[in-house]
Amino acid sequence: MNDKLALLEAALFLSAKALSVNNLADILGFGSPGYVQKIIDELKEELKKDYRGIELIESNGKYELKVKSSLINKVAYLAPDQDISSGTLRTLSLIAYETPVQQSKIIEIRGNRGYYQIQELKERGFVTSERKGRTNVLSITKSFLDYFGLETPEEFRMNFSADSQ
Amino acid sequence: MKRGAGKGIYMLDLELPETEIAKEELSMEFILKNNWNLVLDTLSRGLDPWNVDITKLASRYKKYIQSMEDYNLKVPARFILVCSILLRMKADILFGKRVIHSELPIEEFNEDFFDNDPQKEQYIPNISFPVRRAPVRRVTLEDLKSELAKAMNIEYSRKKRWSERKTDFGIHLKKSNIEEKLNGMMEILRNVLVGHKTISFEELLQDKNKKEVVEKFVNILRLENKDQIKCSQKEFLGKILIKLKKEMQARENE
Repeated sequence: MNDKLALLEAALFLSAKALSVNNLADILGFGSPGYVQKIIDELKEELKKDYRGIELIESNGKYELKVKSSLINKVAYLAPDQDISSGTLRTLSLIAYETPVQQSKIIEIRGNRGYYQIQELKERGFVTSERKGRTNVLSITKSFLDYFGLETPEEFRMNFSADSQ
Repeated sequence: MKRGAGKGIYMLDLELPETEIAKEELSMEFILKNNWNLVLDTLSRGLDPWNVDITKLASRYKKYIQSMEDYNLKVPARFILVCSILLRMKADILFGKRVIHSELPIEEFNEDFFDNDPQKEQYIPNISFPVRRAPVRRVTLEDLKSELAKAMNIEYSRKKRWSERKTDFGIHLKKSNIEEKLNGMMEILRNVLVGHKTISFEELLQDKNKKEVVEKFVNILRLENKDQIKCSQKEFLGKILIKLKKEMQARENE
């Protein structure tokens, strides 16, 4: 069992993108996703301990290893490249600030590239969209709040407004 | 086959006749028209291609350069450079460094070369590449707020640019009250249509200039749209007849 846990940790560490349970099942050589999920949960628990600097996060059914939120500010300078491009992050920030917001409004501000960025954010599980009339209404998800360590969307707005003053 | 200087060194020595190279073939014109490969090909004619004798090649090239000088031609610098390189290689072979040949001729090299021979295997270095992960960090809340600030600044600048773009084209229109105009027109019609059923549009005009025609015609159309009057035209481009609506007329008569 320990060797499977080690293999899982190695795969998640090395992968440039989040891995699904099926991907991990192929790597571990397991046919049953349930057994893979058990190992994932075990690794998650192990990484929750205080002396571990990374955590296993899930977004949209995929798993990846990330530095813990409480530590990221102290070590961010070591890896200047972010896992979300600045353009996509800008679109995400607008959606988070205005949530829920019509997609047409975001596109008006961000231009046509906004469509691809919104699609990427949906795939990452940070944004959902709901059809209303002829446009979509975009909202942020719980995965977004967990990723940034926020409780509610209002907290982000208040946080931003406080910094702006 | 000739046995070479070192143990186990064999060199193929093809006894080829010394080929005469015509002067015309190595003229300046020939050189300028063709590329280096052809020049060297011509110079090395008759030499063993698998084992080009540098000394012979250098001698030929030196003679060629000297012949060019005899013609009093301007010798390009690169020709002299090539000659010097070849002579240097000749000197190295004759007096200094030895060319190291492989232990086996190239055509006999095969995959079994390293079989069961640990001494030969040590020629192959063990190379292992470290597996590295491209460091990409998670986005922080500060990054998100920073991008939001930038987005808002850009949006503010964009709106400001758009508002500044509105230019004054120099057309200043007088403001007028349409309701007052319509009421005025209606008053005129009531006065004129007392005792008459209909009136033609031309009878309403006074100055009969373009401005008056357009203004009164538009007002007539508005009144008809409001269902206060009724207009008719019996033939195309004929007289426009105006009358009050029945209900209004009845009220007037009362």
